[in-house]
Amino acid sequence: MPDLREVPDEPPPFLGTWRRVYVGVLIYLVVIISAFYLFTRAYR
Amino acid sequence: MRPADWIVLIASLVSIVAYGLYRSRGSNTVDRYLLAGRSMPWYAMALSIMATQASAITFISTTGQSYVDGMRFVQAYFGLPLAMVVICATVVPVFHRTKVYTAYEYLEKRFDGKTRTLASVIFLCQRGLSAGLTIYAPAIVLSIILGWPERVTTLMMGATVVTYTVIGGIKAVTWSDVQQMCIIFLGLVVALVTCIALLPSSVSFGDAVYLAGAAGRLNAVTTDFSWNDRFNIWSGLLGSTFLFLSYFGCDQSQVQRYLTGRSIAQSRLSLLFNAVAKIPMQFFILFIGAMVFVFYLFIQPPVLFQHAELSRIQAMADFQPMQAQYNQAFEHRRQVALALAEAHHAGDSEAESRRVSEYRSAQQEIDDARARASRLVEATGGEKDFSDTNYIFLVRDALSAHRNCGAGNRGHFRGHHVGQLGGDQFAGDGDGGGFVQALCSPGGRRPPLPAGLSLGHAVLGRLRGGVRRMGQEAGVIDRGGERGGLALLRLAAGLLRAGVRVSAGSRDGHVYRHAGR
Repeated sequence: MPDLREVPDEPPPFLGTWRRVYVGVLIYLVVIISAFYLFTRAYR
Repeated sequence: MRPADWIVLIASLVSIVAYGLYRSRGSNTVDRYLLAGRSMPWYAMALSIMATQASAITFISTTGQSYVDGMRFVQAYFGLPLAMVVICATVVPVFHRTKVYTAYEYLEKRFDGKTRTLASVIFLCQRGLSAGLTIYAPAIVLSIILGWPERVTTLMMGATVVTYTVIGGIKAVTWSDVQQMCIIFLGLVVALVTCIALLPSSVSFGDAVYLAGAAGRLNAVTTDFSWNDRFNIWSGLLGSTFLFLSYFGCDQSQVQRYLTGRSIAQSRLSLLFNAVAKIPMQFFILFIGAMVFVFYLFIQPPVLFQHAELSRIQAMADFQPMQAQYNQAFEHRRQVALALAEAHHAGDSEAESRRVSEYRSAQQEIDDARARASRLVEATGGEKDFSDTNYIFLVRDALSAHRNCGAGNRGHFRGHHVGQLGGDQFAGDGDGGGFVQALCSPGGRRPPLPAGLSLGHAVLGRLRGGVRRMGQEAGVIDRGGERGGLALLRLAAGLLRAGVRVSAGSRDGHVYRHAGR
């Protein structure tokens, strides 16, 4: 196996670190599920 | 086909192929051919990943799913962002840093050649079979449009994708995927706008949403847990997470896409774009299905959407009473739906509550009639567990055409467009369903048919069975929707990589079939 550190990891274009981007995606998931839930309730 | 149709068809095909080939200039090394020289921007990879996962079958099937079962299918995508985050954090850097050409090459580096060969063979068999269906579907569409034999159009489709794939490599495939995805987005918007525009003039968009909701078609999130329920929030979060982990993390059809990224960051962004965009896109497609449901509240649909089976059972003695009952149930539901919309407008909560109960009861009558027709299909030699869900989105005008003319005249209806339906045909509720009667009356004068959809029954009729199963299985719909071009590229890549194996030293050399051991 080659050295896995050979290719450098670049920072994301926004939010500074990838960890923050991932957290942002997870927050987005929570928000969108909540929005769909409210949508479902509103038209039930 | 009218001249304009020919122009659109030819221009689309030529521009997709030509643009793909143009963008793939210089793909003359293995690295450039299979990995685009690791130069692709995130947005091209993102749309290509999306196009690889989706297919025409996806758009047809999921709208039908929404029509019969509501929007809860969207929950099957809730695991996608979770899976993407895991893949971005773990898989993507490993694939990039090990500089592999395929997902299975990593298995060889990590384990041994036998493991890689086994995984490659399984993948090639699985995807090779699905590619046949994927190529066959558009070939049937072309066959009906052009009136040419299916074998000819299949060869035509195959030749087209083989040409730009073999000549252009992954770059050509990716850029043509980008174009196709743009066309699909446009088509989705047009479908929704058309569906809403064809509603009776007295039914506003707000009314349509209200009626869809009252019929349970806007159930985007269901929290009830049941082992027998395929689509709820729990199965979505848990089951689909693993499904998408395997699909995006291990399946070469997807891995190949993000391996072309110019950096780890670009590959991650392409996947995260899908993590963010895919759920709203699926919601939108399902919403179109809900609007199709509302459309059919006012325009009588056939009791079964699959014309082949409907034609077969129409000759049977049991059918006529069933059809009469269905007609009555439809008219009842139509009246109740209009009354419900009026009560909603008036703000009369008591009347509204009463009408909602009536409306749901009327819908149940329709469902019962359709269930009886399905049972009749099964009892008379049709498919077991018959379902016409995948035929809903496209079938209406074709059936109207069949009702209104003989088989010899069916070709006459090709080329009519939804846009030809004038607003006067929906003169409001006072028209007494004149348009419907005109369509359904055997001797009635036939108005222009909304026939952009007229390919539907013929296309799907021939794909019944295999496609239906694909459509009904949540993940399988997409997983089977791989572009034919990619499949062929993968076969070519498989020869080079999985079977023959390209030695490390030959990677930057020219593409030779004897490259390898």
